[in-house]
Amino acid sequence: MDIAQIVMYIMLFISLYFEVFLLITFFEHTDARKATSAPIKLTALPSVAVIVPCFNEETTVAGTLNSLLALDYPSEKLEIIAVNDGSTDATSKVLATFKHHPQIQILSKENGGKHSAMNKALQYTQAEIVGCLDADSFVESDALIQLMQHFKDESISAVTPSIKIHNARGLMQIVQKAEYGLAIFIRNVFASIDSLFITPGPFSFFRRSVIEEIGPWRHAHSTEDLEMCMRLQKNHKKVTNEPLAIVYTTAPATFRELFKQRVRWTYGFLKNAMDYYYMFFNPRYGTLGVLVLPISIISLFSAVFLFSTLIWNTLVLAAREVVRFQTIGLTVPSAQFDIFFINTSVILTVTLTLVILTLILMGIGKRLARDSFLSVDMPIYLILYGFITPLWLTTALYKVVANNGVRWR
Amino acid sequence: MRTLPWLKYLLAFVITALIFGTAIVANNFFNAKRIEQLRSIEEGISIDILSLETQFELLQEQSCASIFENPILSSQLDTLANKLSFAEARLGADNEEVLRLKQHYSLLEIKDLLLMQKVSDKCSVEPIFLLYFYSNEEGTCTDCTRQGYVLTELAKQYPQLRTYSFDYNLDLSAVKTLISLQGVPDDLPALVINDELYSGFKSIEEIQEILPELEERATSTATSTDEQ
Repeated sequence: MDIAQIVMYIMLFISLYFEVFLLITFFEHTDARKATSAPIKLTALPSVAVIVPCFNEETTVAGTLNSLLALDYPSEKLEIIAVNDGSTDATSKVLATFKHHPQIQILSKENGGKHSAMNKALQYTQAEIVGCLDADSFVESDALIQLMQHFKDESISAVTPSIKIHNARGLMQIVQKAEYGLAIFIRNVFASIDSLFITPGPFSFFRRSVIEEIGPWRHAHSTEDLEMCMRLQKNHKKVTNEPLAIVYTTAPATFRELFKQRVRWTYGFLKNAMDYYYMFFNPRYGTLGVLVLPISIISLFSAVFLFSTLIWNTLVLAAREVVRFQTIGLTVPSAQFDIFFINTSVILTVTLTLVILTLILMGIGKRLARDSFLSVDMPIYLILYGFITPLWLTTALYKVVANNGVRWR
Repeated sequence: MRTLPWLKYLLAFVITALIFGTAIVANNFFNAKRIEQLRSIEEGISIDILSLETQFELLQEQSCASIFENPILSSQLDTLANKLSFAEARLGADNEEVLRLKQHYSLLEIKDLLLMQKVSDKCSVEPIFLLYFYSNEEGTCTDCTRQGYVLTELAKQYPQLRTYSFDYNLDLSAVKTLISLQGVPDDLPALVINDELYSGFKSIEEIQEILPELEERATSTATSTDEQ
């Protein structure tokens, strides 16, 4: 067995271990999930401020604000703060059409990034709970009330929703639809073991008192949502998830846009991981410290390694076929089937098990967010994502090593 | 300080190890089955060769047609070669079982070759024999892969061509004797076509040129089949 094979076995073992661990955790917390999905009482709801940072969102911001106004939540307890973060398009004109709405406050500032927009809005509200909705996202009418029920528990500092792709069209968005299904599952399981390390931009909510205690949003390498959650975890604040709070986000439609977004996310994750390095392998932070964070980093490297191996094997195979063609020309392959030649290697069997397990986790994620267990986007994701993910992972790794920054937009 | 669910970590580890273990056991089981099947094919071929030899001893010239044009044995040897090559790739060229099977296969090839030579003498038939010497050792035969493609394609096009492949480095005295008898150099690939030695890669066209009777026989077989 050569070194590459040993590394391959280790990577596969870690990946499989993590998926098995997630599945066990999911079934372990079935009762807790049933308890939280009980009917919601509309009494004693907290006051909420939803901040909408806008930077050149002329086409989507009206839809975002309208979906917030349609929320099933007492209007006297809900305020919406739209912050124009130095947009250079017609965002300010679109926002102006909402300026007379009693629930909406419009603020304007020079461009400074999403974190600065959040912090400015924070100064203009006294709401007990504050949250954010990206100006390219939309919410289901019961999303807020689903999230707010968790704040009845005084120990909860933040709640995250389930994010789905708005109107998925085209290959790139369809692939992300499946990926977001898997993310719903993972977020839910992570929440049940106090291991969430991202409070996503679209519709995550925070107890205002906690933000005041641990400090406002930071630039955090253009991933303020990740850093805020890491800081919450560092301070042992509880972050949970509500899978029935559905938020729709506009996903990148082209590979170029997706690539840019993911390089930013991965770069931000790696840089924040460096800033919070002391949480890794640290039992003070529970499963997040000893398992979730280290495996999240390892998975980046294993994806790059598995991808390189796949590419290398494909190239070797292609080269062999080219030589065959050059030697004997085009030939018809033998159509004979013999069970003897079926590949039963350990690597292939474990990889197939991993693929099946991933499909199951993805299906569970979709069910949690009221979608069907199986859908056509799942196999497309499995086929395509293995090839494209390592591209942005490698780029982000390079940027971290070369210390090249990334931009928010 | 949060408490760590060690029991759950352990349970996940045990399940993962079980999945891995099952994959390893299953792979070993199927590999053992493959070896078993290879052994059984070799035994079958061995019996067939012995039977043909005996038949030839008993009937001499009367059995010419049935022995010389026995396509079953030739195709059995081809099937065995394919399966052996797959097993070699899966289990490794150093695997003892694979090496033993390969030695046995080479012996069967030599036995078949000798029998066919004997039959062709007695039956006054000009056979088309092709002996192929290759090496799997890295860097020792860069053209062996290409030569393999050529011979596989030729065998497909001309079923009457009897090809015998030998690993030049196989630790088997019979193969070493054959190499020395034919005067095969270590400049591989090497072909022995109807007792003539050719060193280096030979394309389909070059072999067709060396063996024009291949085309003739293919045509005559086709004609006789058409007439039937």
